[in-house]
Amino acid sequence: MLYSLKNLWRRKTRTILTILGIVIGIIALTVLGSLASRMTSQVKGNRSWFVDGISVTPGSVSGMQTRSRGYFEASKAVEVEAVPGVRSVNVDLSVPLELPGAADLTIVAQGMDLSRTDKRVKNLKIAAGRHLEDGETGKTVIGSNISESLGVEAGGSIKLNGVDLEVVGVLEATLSVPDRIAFVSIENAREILSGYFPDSRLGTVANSIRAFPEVGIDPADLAETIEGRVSGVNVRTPEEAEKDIAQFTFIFNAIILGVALIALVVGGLSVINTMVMAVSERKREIGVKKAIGADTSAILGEIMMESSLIGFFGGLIGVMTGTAIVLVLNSLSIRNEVTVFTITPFIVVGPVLFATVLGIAAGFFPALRAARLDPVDALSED
Amino acid sequence: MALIEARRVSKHYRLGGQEIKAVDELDLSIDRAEFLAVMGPSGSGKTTLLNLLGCLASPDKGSLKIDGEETAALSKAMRTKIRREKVGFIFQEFNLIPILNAVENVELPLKYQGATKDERRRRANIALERVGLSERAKHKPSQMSGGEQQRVAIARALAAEPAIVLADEPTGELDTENTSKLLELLKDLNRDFGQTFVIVTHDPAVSGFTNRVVRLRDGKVESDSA
Repeated sequence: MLYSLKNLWRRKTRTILTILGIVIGIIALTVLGSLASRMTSQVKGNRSWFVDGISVTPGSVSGMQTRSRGYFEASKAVEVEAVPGVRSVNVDLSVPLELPGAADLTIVAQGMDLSRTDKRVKNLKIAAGRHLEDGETGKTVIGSNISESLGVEAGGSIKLNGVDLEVVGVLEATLSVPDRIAFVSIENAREILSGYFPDSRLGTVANSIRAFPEVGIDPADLAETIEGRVSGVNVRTPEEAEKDIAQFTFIFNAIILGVALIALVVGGLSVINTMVMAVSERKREIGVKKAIGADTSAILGEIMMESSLIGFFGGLIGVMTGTAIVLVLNSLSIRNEVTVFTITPFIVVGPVLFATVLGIAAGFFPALRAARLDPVDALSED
Repeated sequence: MALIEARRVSKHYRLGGQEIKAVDELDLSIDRAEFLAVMGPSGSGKTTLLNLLGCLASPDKGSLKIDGEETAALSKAMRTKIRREKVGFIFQEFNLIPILNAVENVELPLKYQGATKDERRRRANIALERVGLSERAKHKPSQMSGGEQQRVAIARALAAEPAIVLADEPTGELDTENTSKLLELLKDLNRDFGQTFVIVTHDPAVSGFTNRVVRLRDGKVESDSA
């Protein structure tokens, strides 16, 4: 290895430039990779949040005489529940709000009919405290972003649109929608909503119903049945939600793949070029080595060790630079309460491995040429 | 049994549409521990013969036995094995690896034989001592004179204790004083360690040191002093 390093150092400028070519590709890969991993974890978090169950939302007509659109009577849930094939339903009233004390953060107060068990909410992990229980009012379980922004822990209290709530639980971070939700009873959500519409009758409104099919019932069929039987609602099946998410993930993966391919081609070609030049410069040396007993594998190993070192250093420097860029960008964006990039162990180790393997692969062709040199021809080289 | 036994060995090349009989139906027998010079005008086939004896090339026709083993039909890998185990090379232009110091250069053939690091270093130091360059072990070729570089090359050829040492114009780049020093060294090594030396040369000074002179002309043996 020391010998290979010495060989690489014979042509410092060329080696450094080749490494630089790989560094640039790997920086792009690291930065976009951590962006994608942030997106993917968000999408994954969103997935279980959006995909489970059939979403039933208010349609064009709702008999309500308020300025608000997008609400229906909570009693719609009874209609939905009556559709054959529906196992259970949840009823929610989601109210978007600006968080007092952290003006930039928009959160959602999600009111739930606590008499119905909401599996999706129960599945969220509690970091401190507990979930809400049936019959409780004036209490809330908050997402991690809300807890961090307000500095409120379990046992504290928050005020949402003038409604005082005791925080009984804080959720673990999901890097997704629930991080910005304050879960409350549906009655409290209506109080919070009435802060916007003081004159309105909000006594029994909701804005989202989620229906879960019985075992063996096809969600798509059931969604169609619900749409036919219950008036004034929009229905969205898990498949539709899944499709949107898949498309989103696909686009991101395609970008990463594209960058990786460009890095592969550019880096690979420059390594091949460098090693072909190195081999033709050292033809005579290779001839000497073959004359004194170096076999094919010794020559192959020598050249490919050099190209793999180029790849390894390119990968290492690229990942370190890329990670530094990501950390700086994250520290800038954290002021806006968002993190754009997530660095995972794979994002650090992956590109280094990728670049090393690329170096080995790119070195193979020049190495083979070197190994196949005829010692007599190589020795007569000037 | 002779160490090297060549019977009607031919090696032809095509150069610009013309066939060149570099070595043509040549017969030659060399015994163990001989100290032999191969001489002849340019184009007489000296270097080609050396390449054949060193298994760098294989004959087109004829039989060439080295240490009892027929080499004419061997694969490249098998020829590499013979070079590694039985042959040491000394070149006109020294051909040391510039980024390696003297002892590392001498270690190379041992490395290809698969010797351990300690073993390599030990044997390379012994070889350097034999050529009187122990104190230059850590010097790079660029820090040494031509005569010293050629002695390092000799140490490299001897390190693996091959049966045959082949030298192609070893004094070609050296002045008169260094030439005689080098030839005396080769002669001493031949006497002390019993290796066979085949020296291809133009230099009439060399023939004065050897026991036997084979003269080539047109790819055949013209005269053999033995």
